[in-house]
Amino acid sequence: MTTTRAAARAVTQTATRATTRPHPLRLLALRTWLPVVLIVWWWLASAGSRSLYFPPLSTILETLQHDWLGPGLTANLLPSLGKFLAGFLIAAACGIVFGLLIGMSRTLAAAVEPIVQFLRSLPPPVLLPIGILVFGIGAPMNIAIIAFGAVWPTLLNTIDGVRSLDSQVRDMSRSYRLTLGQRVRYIVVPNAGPQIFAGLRTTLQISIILIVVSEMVASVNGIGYYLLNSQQTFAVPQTWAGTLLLGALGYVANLLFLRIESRVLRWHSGMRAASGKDA
Amino acid sequence: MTTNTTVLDSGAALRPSPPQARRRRHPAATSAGRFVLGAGTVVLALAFWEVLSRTGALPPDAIPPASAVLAEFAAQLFLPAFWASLWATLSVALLGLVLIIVIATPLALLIGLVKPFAESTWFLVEFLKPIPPVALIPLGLLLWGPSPGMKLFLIVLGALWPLLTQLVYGVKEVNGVATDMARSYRLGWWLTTSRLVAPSILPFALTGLRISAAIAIIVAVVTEMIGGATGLGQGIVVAQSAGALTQMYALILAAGLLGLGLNAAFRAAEKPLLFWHPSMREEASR
Repeated sequence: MTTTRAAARAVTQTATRATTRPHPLRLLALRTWLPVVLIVWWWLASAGSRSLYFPPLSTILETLQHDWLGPGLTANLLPSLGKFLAGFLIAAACGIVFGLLIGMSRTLAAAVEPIVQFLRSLPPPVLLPIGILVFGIGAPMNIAIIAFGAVWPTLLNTIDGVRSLDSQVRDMSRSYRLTLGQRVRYIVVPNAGPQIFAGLRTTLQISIILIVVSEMVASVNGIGYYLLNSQQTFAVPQTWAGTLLLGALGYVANLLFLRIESRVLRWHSGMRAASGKDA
Repeated sequence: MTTNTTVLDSGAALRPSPPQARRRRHPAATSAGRFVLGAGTVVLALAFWEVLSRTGALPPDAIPPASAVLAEFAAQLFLPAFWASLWATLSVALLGLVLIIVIATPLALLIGLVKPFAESTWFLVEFLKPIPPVALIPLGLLLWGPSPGMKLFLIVLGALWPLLTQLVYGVKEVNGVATDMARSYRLGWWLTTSRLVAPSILPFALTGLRISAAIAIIVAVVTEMIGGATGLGQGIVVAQSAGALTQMYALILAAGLLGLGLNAAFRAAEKPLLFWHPSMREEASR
């Protein structure tokens, strides 16, 4: 009976939503007019610019194409992306595994709490000097900094997610005598899933910050190196181009992540829609 | 196992004497037990670090012993220069937070309540949100040089989004069945605002503000490290290039404690403000 009621509610909700939602074309126009106006304004206002700091947008785009679509792609962009991915994946894996372990043992959680809280509160870039001392300058150091600096949001969210398990479900899994492996696989991980992904998204953002900063401070290639180098040599169009590229990369990485999240957590959004929590 | 004690904790007052009650309490069940466990691990970790560094298992020219770092940290506490750089970092971050609140509040109200405004700015906000704040540092340095104003600008631009996003969620949360009910009960403007709007938005605002504060500190420290504006970040880089290792570690420790203190301040503010919220109830019953 509850299911039919929930279904009915879902139907009425979609119905009302359909009536209030503007026509797709109108929506598109509404969403695009401001960015288009801004870009056109930037283009026109900077077209004849002789200012050292604000070069014409056309010059910036030419630099972008010249520096990043040719040899720059393999020389600077790919190494950055590789280091970023490696660091992010290590941080994600460590965060989830240790988070599960700590979340499932109260003794362990109480024991590591102060240290985890301290390391979580540490602004990750201050680890850079230590990273340089221990690893020297190069890719291993960049990856280590990302892994160590970005792991905390995922770790803490995984711990919280594991702990948030409903006590009834916990009791039931005990009376069904699920083995530890089954409990983790079918109860603990799905229950913590949404929170793990929320943590992973923050880890992703911190990873992007750290790859840029670590390359600025200690690297001989990569986007961060290029960006800081062009700033220090007063190569203004290059600085603008690098900034635009980084913005675009951050945007794309976030978009990809959201795609993966909605894929993995499909069951969860379906459940929320059915129970009407997401209204 | 853990399950036993959790059930016991929440139900001990209700159930007269379940058979498990006679069992010894879990060490992590009381706050004193948790404190001992936590403090013990900290001491153990420091001792471990000390031993590893003294025996040379860790490269001593990269990681000095824990005792030396702690002694240096204690010495720093008496130096006015240390407090000056700490204040340079903290004050700009706090000023940035104030600016962020001033900017984000009207924006969130507009986005949350005015549909055309929300749709028009949707693309712009979604594009600006994921841009890493540090990407703008070189541009900021180029345009303004290593000044507090540049630091402030980067902080506002980088740390605005968490608060804005959370506030928009909060404003949207208000706009629902509860508003209809308030209207049919004729609560009036003041009662609706104080009893419905503010309590619905507050948890979101505090969450957003906490994340924004963390990012503000990160951006402040990074601009100091790279741009050379005065503050903790600059102190760390200077100590590193001067080879003053213990001082560098002491300053890193201070940066961590600063973040920890800021976090604790937010937690302390949450308790009286959000005592009614489900997340707090859960915490209290734990």
